[in-house]
Amino acid sequence: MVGFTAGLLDAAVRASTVFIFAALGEIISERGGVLNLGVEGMMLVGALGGFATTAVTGNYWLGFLVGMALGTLLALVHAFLCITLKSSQVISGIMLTLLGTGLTTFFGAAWVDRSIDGFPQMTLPLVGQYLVEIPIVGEALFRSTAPDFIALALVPIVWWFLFRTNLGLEVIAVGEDPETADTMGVDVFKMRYLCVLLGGAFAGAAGAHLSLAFSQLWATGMTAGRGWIAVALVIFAQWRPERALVGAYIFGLLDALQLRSQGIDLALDAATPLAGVVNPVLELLMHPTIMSTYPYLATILVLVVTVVRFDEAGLGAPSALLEPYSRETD
Amino acid sequence: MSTGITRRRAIKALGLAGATGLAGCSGSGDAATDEGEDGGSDGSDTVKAAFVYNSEVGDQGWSWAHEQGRQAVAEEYDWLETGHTEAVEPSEAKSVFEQYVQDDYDVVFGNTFGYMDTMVSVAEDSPDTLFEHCSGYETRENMGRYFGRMYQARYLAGIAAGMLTEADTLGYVAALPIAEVVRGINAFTLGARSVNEDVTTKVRWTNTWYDPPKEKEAATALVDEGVDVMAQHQDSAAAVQAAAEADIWATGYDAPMAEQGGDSYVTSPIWHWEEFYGPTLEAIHDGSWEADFYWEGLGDGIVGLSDWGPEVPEDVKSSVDDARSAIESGDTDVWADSKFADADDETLFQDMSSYVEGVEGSVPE
Repeated sequence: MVGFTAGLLDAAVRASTVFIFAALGEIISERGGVLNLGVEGMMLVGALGGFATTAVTGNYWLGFLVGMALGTLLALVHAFLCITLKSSQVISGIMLTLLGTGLTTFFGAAWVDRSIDGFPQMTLPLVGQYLVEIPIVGEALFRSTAPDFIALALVPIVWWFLFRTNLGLEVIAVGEDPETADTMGVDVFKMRYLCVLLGGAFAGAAGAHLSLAFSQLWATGMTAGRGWIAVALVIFAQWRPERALVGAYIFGLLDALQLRSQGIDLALDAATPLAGVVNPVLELLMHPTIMSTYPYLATILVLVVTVVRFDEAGLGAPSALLEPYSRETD
Repeated sequence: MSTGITRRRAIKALGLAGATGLAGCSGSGDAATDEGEDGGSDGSDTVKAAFVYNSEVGDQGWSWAHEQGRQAVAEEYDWLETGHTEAVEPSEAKSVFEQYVQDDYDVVFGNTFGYMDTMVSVAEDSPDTLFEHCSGYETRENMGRYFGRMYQARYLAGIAAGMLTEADTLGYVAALPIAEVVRGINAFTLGARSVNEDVTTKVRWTNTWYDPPKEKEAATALVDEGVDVMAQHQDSAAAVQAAAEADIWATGYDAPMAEQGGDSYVTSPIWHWEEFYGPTLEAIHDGSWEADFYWEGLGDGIVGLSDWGPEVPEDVKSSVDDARSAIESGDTDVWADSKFADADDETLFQDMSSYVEGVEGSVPE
């Protein structure tokens, strides 16, 4: 059981990194007032760009940077459409996902099933070599790839940026009340561009992590809905980075459980009272297809609980989310 | 062309709506004059064949294997014109099929189970066009179905796995719990147990045909549980790659996966769809085509094994070769020692929903 738990946690932590990157990026974007449903598409271009670059140059760090750059580039399209042209954020974001999917399917065909040497496993610099000895969680937390550690480090950095720096507070201001922010001298357009582009860079990093560290391969549509889970995760986390980390671990754990729970039999002995009721329910709950819906069910649950306990504002959604800003309007 | 249409109408009017082998009529009857320029099914010696695939061709998986078959026959027959469409969802299939009918294709092949109902309805509306559906159970007068006894190749791969394993534990990354996949798991396990009765197989379901990161995670989970030979029924090579990284033996599927498997690659059960497409198109060409169910195996060459990995010992290769001859000659029946010994083809094909002895757990409902 110790081996099973350690393996499960290790798989959960590895699976969570992609959610951390993508959700942090989406939090920044939405905090600035721009919803971006194109996470999946930006992740895909990041994954392919990173993979192709690494395959050609052999340099996975360069690949990672190219992945971030391509994610940013795709986000620029979204920023232009939604901020400058003030078009619908929902439509533009979905278009971005479809565009990213289509482009990477076409340009990715040549890279399918190629092999690369991606990010190697390493222990956390300095202290990691001792900490991996901790039973059960040691390997999971302290032996990983470089992007896994970077993602973790970004959680406090993004938190500090949003809530403790002037720039971060300006981000929140344009997401909550762009008119007032504008009056206070904040350049709403520039700030929103910054947020969307940062979101794109993070999504690109999520994709590059997927192809360069997690899977070390490129495959058509390999994000397989993880971008959508990240969007759900932002709501789950109520737009807070530290909660996104918790959510990412939970979602990563659910991801890992889907595969690893198949090895364990929780069914009660047929002689046990209530076995006739409990076992079919357990079987349903543990069914892989049902399990794959848990991240979304968890998000719905958080929505319901929060709104019931507080009110809509308590949910934490930026007030000006989805609203294009234009100076002429008053 | 106008005469063709007239004749078609006449045939319909006569109640011969099935029009089986209509394309063939042309071969024997009218002289081929237009060399397939706009090659309708009538008045031309050319056969126009359309291939509709459910996924991208480039993925080394299921549709790639079919595309290899299409390319082989397109090269072989100068009277053949082919067209193909990739990544067609079952929900979009109707319009794709109908377009091919409109463009006067003689036969439309569809390579996924999900096309079945759509193909039936288009076939019923288009009696002058022939249809062939892969992996389903419906036929019509102008619609046949086809598949291969991949389980025979799986059985051979299982023999290799059973001889190679030291932990006596095999891993199997499986897509969806349908009869086809369960059949493969069972045959693989029976093959392994035919040479090593202590073997058990652990199965992890990904519930998707294609999600390489997930396939890889499933394989990693199996490695953590101590399997030392990996098998997979997925559309990518991710499980093979995971096995190579963990330095355990791996068998692939659909395509040779030697590149991903590295030194510990064993072999892959693979398809040779041209062995079906070739004779079928010839039958259409000479007018002898009839709607039936094609389900052949190693003997026909429609399934087989890819080349061996670099480190596979000679005794494994020769044992597999012996078993292969025994299956081809009919001396060995894969299911003989299992609970499916008395099952007929229909049961094997459609109703296999439980594991044989040696597979851990049970098939998810």
